[in-house]
Amino acid sequence: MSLVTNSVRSWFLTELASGMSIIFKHMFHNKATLNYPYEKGAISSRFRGEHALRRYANGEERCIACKLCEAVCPALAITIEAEPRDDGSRRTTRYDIDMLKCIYCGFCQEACPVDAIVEGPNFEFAAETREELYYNKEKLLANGDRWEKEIAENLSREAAYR
Amino acid sequence: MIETKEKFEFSSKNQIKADQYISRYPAGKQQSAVMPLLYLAQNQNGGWLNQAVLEYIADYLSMSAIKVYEVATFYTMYNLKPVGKHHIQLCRTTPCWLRGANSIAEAICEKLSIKHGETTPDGKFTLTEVECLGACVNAPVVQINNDFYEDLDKKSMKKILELLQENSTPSSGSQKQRHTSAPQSGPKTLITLGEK
Amino acid sequence: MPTLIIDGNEIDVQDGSTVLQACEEAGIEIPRFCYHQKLSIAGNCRMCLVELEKAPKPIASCAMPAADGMIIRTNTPSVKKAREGVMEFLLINHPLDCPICDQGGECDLQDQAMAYGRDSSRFGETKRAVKDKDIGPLVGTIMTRCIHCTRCIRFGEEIAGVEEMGAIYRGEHMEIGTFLEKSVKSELSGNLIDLCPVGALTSKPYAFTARPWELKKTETIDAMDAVGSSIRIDTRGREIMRVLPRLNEEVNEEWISDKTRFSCDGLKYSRLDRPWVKKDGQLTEATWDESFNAIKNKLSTLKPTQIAALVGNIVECESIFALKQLMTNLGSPHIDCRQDSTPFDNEYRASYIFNTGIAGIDQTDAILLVGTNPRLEAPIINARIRKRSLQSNFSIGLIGNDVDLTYKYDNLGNTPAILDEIIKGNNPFSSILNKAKKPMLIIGQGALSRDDGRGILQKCRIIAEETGMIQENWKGFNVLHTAAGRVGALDIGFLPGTNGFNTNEILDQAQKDSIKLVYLLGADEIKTNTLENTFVIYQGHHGDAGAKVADVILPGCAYTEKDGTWVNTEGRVQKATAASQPPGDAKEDWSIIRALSDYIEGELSFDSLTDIRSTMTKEIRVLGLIDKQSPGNWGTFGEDCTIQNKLPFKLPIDNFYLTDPITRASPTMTKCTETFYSNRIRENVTDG
Repeated sequence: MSLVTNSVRSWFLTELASGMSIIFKHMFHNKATLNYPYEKGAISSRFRGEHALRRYANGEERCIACKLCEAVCPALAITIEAEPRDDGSRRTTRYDIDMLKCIYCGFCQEACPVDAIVEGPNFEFAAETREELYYNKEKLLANGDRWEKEIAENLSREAAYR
Repeated sequence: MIETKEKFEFSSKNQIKADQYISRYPAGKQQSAVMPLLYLAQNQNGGWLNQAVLEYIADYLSMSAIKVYEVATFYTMYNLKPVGKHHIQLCRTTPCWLRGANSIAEAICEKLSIKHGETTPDGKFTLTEVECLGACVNAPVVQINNDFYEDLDKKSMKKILELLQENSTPSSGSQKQRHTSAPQSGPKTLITLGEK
Repeated sequence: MPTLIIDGNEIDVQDGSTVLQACEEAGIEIPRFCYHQKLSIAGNCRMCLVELEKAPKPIASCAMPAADGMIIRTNTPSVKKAREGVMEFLLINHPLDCPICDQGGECDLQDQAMAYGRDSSRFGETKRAVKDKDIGPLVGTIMTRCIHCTRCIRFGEEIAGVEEMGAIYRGEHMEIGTFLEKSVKSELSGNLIDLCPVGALTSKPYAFTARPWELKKTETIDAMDAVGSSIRIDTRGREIMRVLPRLNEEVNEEWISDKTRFSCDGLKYSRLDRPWVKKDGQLTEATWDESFNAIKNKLSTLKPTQIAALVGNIVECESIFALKQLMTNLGSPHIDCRQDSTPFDNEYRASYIFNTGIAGIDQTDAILLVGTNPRLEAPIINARIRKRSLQSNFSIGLIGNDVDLTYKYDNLGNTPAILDEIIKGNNPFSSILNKAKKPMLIIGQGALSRDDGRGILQKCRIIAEETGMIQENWKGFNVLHTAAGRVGALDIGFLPGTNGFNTNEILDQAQKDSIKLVYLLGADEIKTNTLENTFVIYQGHHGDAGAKVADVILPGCAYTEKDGTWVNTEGRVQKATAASQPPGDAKEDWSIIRALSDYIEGELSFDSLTDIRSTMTKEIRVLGLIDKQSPGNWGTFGEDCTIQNKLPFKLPIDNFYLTDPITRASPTMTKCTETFYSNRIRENVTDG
C-alpha cells in the first residue's frame, strides 16, 4: 500500500502541486505585510506608547503635582518637583521621565486624577543617544500638544471602561 | 464685620443697665452677660454692631474680641451691617407663608423699591427676611424695630409704611382689630361665663 | 478605678478616663477628629460613636466618662453604620481636592474615609466654599477643607494662650476665622498645622514641595533653643523639607516652637561649603590641606598664651570636647563658651541647669521669674508654665520687663533691688514663696549677662535657699538657657583655665594684640569688630559674623547634619542623629579638629565618634547618661559684688525669629520678622 501511494506521489509531483497551489492562492489574497514606514497598522486605543503631558483647552497645563504617578511608578522613572506658582496654584517645576527606565505599564496614566500624564499612540521615538530619552517637562508638554487630538479621542473611547 | 476707627462707649444710662446685667451672674462669670450687653450696645449704636462696639464689649467683660464676635455672628438678631431707621423683619416661616407672607414681601418691595436685605437710599428702611417670630396665630406678621404688626395684607402693609414714611406711628398689633388672637367675629366660647 | 467591658474584654481604667481612653487602653482604635489628648474635650465631630449597652443610641466616646460596669461595643454593624453616617455628612462640604492638598497621604479624614466612607457621594447640591483667611506667614489656610473640629481654637485658648481664632457664623455658614484679618501672633503657631486633622491649616513654607511618602524621617533633637525638643526631620535627598515634633512628655510634650519648625530653610542659604584662607587680605577658596597649613604656619610663630578659643551657641558636645583637648594640648588656658559673659562656672552643676526639669513645672505652686521672657527664650517652657497657670493654687512673680507672657503674673518690678526685698521678706511675693510647698525660681540669661551677674546669681541662690526652694527631692533653682550647646560646654568645662581669659577679656586682649589667634567654633554672637587684626579661625556652618572676620574658614556641619550629644537647659543629655549631609566639602566638626591636630603639635587620641564619645563620657560621667536628667550638686555659688541696683534687667532675645546664624539665613524667619516686628528696624540681636 505505502509503496503504491509513495510512488504515485513522487512520480506525479503531487506535493509540488499542492505547494504551488498555496502560492498561487496567496498571489490573489490581500498582502499581510506593511510597507513600514510608509504604511502603518492600526493600533488599539489602549496602546501605551510615548508619554505626553496634556493641557486644558485654555492652554493651562493639567498636571497639579500630586505626585501619584511618581509614587506608583514601579520603575522609579518619574521625578517631580513642585512649588506654588505665582498665582498660588500647585504646579510642577520639574517633571522628568527616564524613558529608558520606563516599562510602559501605564500605571502613571491610571493614577493621574486629572488625565495629565498619558501614554499616547506614538511609538516612534527611538533616539541615538541616551540623553535624548531623558524627557523633561517641556518635551512632555510638547508631546501633549502634538498628540492632543489622538489622545483625546482615545480617552473618550476608553472613558466607558475606566 | 465692618471695621472702623471710631470709638464706642456706653452712655451713662446704659452703663448702669450693663452693670445690672453683669451683676445677675456669679462673680468671675461676667462673660455670661455678653448677649444682653451686645443688644444694649446695638440699640445705642443705631441698630447695628461694628468693630468698635465689639471691641468695647470684649473689653468691658474682659474676654477676647473673637469670642464676642462669635456670639454676634451666631445670632441673627445682631446686625453686623448698618440698618435703616425702621428695620423691617418679615417672617417667612410656614404659617406666615401660608397666610400670604409672599404678598406682604411684594408690597414692601413695591412700596420702598428695595429687595430683601437692602436699605432704602434715604436710610429709613431695611428689609430682612427672618424665621418664625412666634406670632403664628396672627400670621402674616412683620416686626418693625421692636413692634409687631400682625394680620397683615398688602393694603395694611402699605398703609403702615406710608405712616412711617410720614414719621407718624402706626398702631402695632393686629391690623384687623382683633383682640390678641381671639376670633375676628368676636368670642365664640365661654360667652356665658361672665353672666353667672 | 472603673471596670468596663469593651468588646467582651474586661478592663480597668483610671478614674476620670473617658470611654475613648478606655478603648485605647484596650487596644481598640476609635476614629476621631475633634478629640486630642492635650486639648479639652469638644465632642463635636461625632466620629467616635460607640455602642453602650442600655443606651438608646450610640454615644460619643470622647465625651463620655468611663463608669463602672459599662458594656461598650465598638465593632457592631450599628456602630459602623453610625460612623459611616457621620463621615458622609463630613464629606458633604469637604472638597475632593486630595491630589493638590498638602495633607494628602497623612490626612485623618482621608484615612478614615477609607474605613467609613462611601464609594460615591449622594449629595447632589452645590458644595459650599469658604474664603481663605490670612493668618500669617507660617500657616496657610484653605478654609473650604475645614471640618470644624475646633482643635485650632482650643489650641489657641488652652496651649498657646492667644485667643485669636474662633468659629464665626453658624450652621452651614460656620467658619473658622480671626476677629480682624490679622496674623496669629504666637511662637507656637506651627503646631496648628499638626493639629489640623485635614488640610485646612497647612505649612506655608512647605507648601506643595513634597509628599509624605517620599520623605526620609529621622528622629533627632532640636538645637534652635536650649529646650532640646524632640523632633523628627523629614528629608528628601539632601534637602530638609520640614521639621515636626515628636512626643516627649518630659520635655516638649507634643509641641515645638515656630523657630524649631520653620528655620530649617536657613540651612540651605549662606552655607560654608569649602575651606577659605585669607591671602593678601582677600578670602580665597582653598583645600583642607592649604587651610590647615595656614593655621600651622601661624601657630608656629605664637606662644601658647597668645591663642584663645571661643565656642558658640549651636555646638554639640563632641566638638567642644575635641577643641578643649586641642587647646589643652596646645597649652592655652584662654577658652570660653559664655559668649554673653554670664558668670557660670562648672563647680556645681546645679548652679547652671534647670534643676526641676521642665516637667517639674507641673508640680510647682509658685514661680519667680528673674530677668527672663520665657515666651521668647523657650516657648515650650512658657507653654508649660501657662498650662500650670490654668490650674488652681499657683502664683507667678516676674522681676523683669513687663511683657505679655500669655498668662497672668505679678510684676514685681524690673531692678535687682527687688531681689534684696525678697531676701529680706519685704516683698509681698516672698511670703507667697515661703508658703509654697514646691516653689521655683527661673533665672534668665538677661539677669546674668551683665557686669554684676555673679552677684545676681548669688542673690538668686540665697533666695532659693531662704524660701525653701532647696529640698531633698526638689531643687527649685532653675537657669533658663537660650543656647543649645551651652550646658554641654559648661559640663565639659570649656571655661578659662588658671590665669585664663574669659570672652570679654579675650576680645579685649585681641584688640590689644596680646592674643594673636582666636579659634571660633561656631561663635557668632560676639563683638567681632575687636578681632579685625587678630588671626581668626572660624569653624562653623554659616557665613555669619564670625566668618566675616576670619582668616581661615573651616566648613562644619549644622545640627541636622551630624550625630552629636546635646545637653538641654535641664541638663538632660540627648543624642541627635544626622538627618542629611553637609554641603560641599564641609565635614563633621569633631573630625575637622581631629584632622587639624595632626598638622600642629597637639595630636588628639581619638579617630572615630565612638572613640571620642567613650573618652568624653569617661571624663565627664553625666554625658554618658543619655535621655536622663542627672541632678546637679548644690553648693555655694555666685560671688559678692556691688550690684547696680537701679539698672533694669535686659532681655537676651529681642526678636524671637532672628537669634542665630541659621535663623538669620532663613527666608521664612525674615518674613516672620517683617510681619511681627514690622515696626522695628532689623538688627542683629545677641542671643545669650
